Amino acid sequence: MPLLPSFSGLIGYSELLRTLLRRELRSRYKGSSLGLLWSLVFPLAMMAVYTLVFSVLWRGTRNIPHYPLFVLAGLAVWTFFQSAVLLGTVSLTSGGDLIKKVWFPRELVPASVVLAQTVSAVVILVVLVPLAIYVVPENVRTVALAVPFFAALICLALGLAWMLSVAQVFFRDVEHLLGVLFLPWFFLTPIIYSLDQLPAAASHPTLIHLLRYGNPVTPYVEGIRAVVLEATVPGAPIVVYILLVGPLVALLGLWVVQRYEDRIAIEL
Amino acid sequence: MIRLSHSRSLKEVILHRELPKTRELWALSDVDLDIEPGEAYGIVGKNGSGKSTILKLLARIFAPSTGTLEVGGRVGSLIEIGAGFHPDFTGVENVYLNAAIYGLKRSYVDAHLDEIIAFAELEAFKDAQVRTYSSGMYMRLGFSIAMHVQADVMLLDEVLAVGDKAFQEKCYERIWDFKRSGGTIVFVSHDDGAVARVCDRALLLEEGRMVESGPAEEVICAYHRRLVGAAAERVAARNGAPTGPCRVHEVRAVAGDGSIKERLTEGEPVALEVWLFAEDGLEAGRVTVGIRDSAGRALGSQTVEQVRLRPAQLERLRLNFPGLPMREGRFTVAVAVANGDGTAELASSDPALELNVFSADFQAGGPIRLGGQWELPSGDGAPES
Repeated sequence: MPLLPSFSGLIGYSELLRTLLRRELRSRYKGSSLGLLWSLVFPLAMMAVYTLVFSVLWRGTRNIPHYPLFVLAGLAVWTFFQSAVLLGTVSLTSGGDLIKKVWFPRELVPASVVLAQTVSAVVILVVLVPLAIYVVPENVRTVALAVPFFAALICLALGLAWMLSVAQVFFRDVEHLLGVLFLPWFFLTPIIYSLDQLPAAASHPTLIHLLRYGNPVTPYVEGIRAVVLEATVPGAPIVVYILLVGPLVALLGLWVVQRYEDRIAIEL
Repeated sequence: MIRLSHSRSLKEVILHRELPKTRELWALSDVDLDIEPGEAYGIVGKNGSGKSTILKLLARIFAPSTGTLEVGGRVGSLIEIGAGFHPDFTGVENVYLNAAIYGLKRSYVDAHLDEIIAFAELEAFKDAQVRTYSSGMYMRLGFSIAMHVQADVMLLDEVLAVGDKAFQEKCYERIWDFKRSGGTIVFVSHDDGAVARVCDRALLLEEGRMVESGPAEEVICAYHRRLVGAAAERVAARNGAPTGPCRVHEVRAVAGDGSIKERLTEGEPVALEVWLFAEDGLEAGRVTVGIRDSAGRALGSQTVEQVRLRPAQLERLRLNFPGLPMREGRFTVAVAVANGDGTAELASSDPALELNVFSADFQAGGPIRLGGQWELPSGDGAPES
C-alpha cells in the first residue's frame, strides 16, 4: 500500500462522479415541489427559533450584531458539515447493491454524497451573502475568501466521510455513535453564540482556547462567518489551520478508503 | 475466503478486546487457471461451488485473500443484469449512469446511444423510468449496455437465462462477434449446453476446488458423469440392491462400429444398446425405451414386443437411429421390461443412461431435429404466366 493515496480513481471516473451526484440530488428531492429550496427551510426555521429564544426573549446577544445572520452563517457551515458526514458515513453500507455488483473506485460513493450536500450549502450561501452585503457593505471586500474556506471545509467533511464510511462497513455502530455525538458537538461549536462574547471568555482563556482549536469545525465556522458577515479576515493561525486541516484530513480519508477497498464488498 | 461472523459490533470489540469468533469458509481454494486472450472459457459446477466468486474476483469486486490474480485489459461484466440501474431514472439516463460505472466517456455514449437502445429494442420506452420496465426489458437494456462497453474481457454470469428466445439468439450472435473480434470471454452457467456452445475450454468446480479442466465438451461430460453418479447413488440408497429374476444390466449408446459414445452430435447415426439378463429366461416380453429431457419431460418412447431372452444369459437389444432426433441438451434414457401382455413390470432402470447431445447447427431452433426433405418449385427460370 503506497503512502500517498491515488487520485486516478477520482479523475478517471469524474464522469461517474457527476452521474452519481446527479443521481443523489435527483433521489433526494424526487417528487417534492420545492426541491432544492427545502435546503433553506431548516436553517431559516432554526434561525427564527434561535433568534426568538436567545435574542428576543433572553436578550443575551446584545454584543453580537445582526444576530439572525450570525446564526444563519453558522448554520450554513454546520448543516453542511453534519449532513455530509452523517450521510457520507452510511453511503457505502446503503449503496451496497451497486458495490456488490460492479467495480469502480469506491471513494466515489461518499464523495458524491458529500458533494450533493454542498449544493444545499450553496443555496443557503446564495441567500446569506447578498443579505450580509446589504447589511454590512464592507463585506464585499472579504467575501471572496469564503470560497477557499468553504472548499477546505468540503475537504474536511469528505475526509471524515471517507474514514467513517469505511469504519461503518466494518462496525455498523458508527452511524449510531455519530448520531449521539452530533448534538453535543453542535452546542460545543460557536454557532448560536460567539466564543469571544461569552461572559466567561475573559476568566477562562484556556477553556476557550481548547474549544476553539480542539474542535475542528470551529475555525471553519468562525472563519467563514468573519469573511461573510464581519468583513474581517481571521488571524494567520486560523487561516493556516483552515486551509491545512481540511485537505490533510481528505488525504488521510482517501488513503483509508483505498487501503480497505478490497474488503468493502465482502463485508457488505 | 469469506469470513462469516454472527455479528460484529464495537461493543464486542471493546469488551472482548478481540474480534468476535469467526467461522472461516473458503469459497475457493487451489484454483489455478490461465485464460488466453481471445479465448472463451466456461466455468461449470453446482450452486455454491464458487463459480460466481471467480467472476467477482475477475471483476475486482472481491480481492483474493491469498494468491494472485491478474487481468489484462478492460473488463466488462454482466454479473448481475442492470446492476447500478436507478429505478427513478429513465432508460436513457440509466444508459449514461451504467456507462459511467464502466468508465466510459460521455461522448462515446452520445455516439452510441441509439445503437444501444435499438439493440435492447426499447425505442418506445427509452424515456420511461426503468422501475416501470419488465424484468425482460431490464435485462435487455443491461445486456445491451454491457455489450457496448468495448471491453477486452467479458464476464457473463447466467445472464442469458432470462429474456425471450429471439433476444437470446441475438445475444449469442453478439457474443460470437465479440469472440471473433478477439475478445476474451469467461462464462458461468449451470446451463451447460450454453457453455458448450460458447466456450473452447472449461473448468469444473466442486466446493470451491478445481475438479476438471480442459476442452469444454470434455469438462461438461465429466460434470454430467458426476451428476449421474450422484443420482445413481441416491437411487441405489433408496431402492436397496436390485433384485428379481430379470434385470436391466446396462444401457449404452454406441456408434455404427460398436464403440461406446459419451458425446453425441445431433443427427448422427447412433444405436442404443440394452443389455438384459433374465435368470429364468423370458418367453415373450416387451421392452420399452423412453427418453426424457433434462426437465424430466417425456419426449418419446419405443416398445418392442415378443422379446425372447435365454435363461441366465446376457442378451443384447439394439435400437438404431439413422439420425439422432434430439437437438442439443442433456437427456436421460429409461428402460422397462414387462411381461407379454404388459400387465406386470419385470425390471426397469431409470435413468439407465444419460445422453449429452451437442448441436451442429446453431441456426435451427426448438427441441427436435425437424428433418424432412425439401422439394423446390420446378421453375426453369421464367415464372409461368
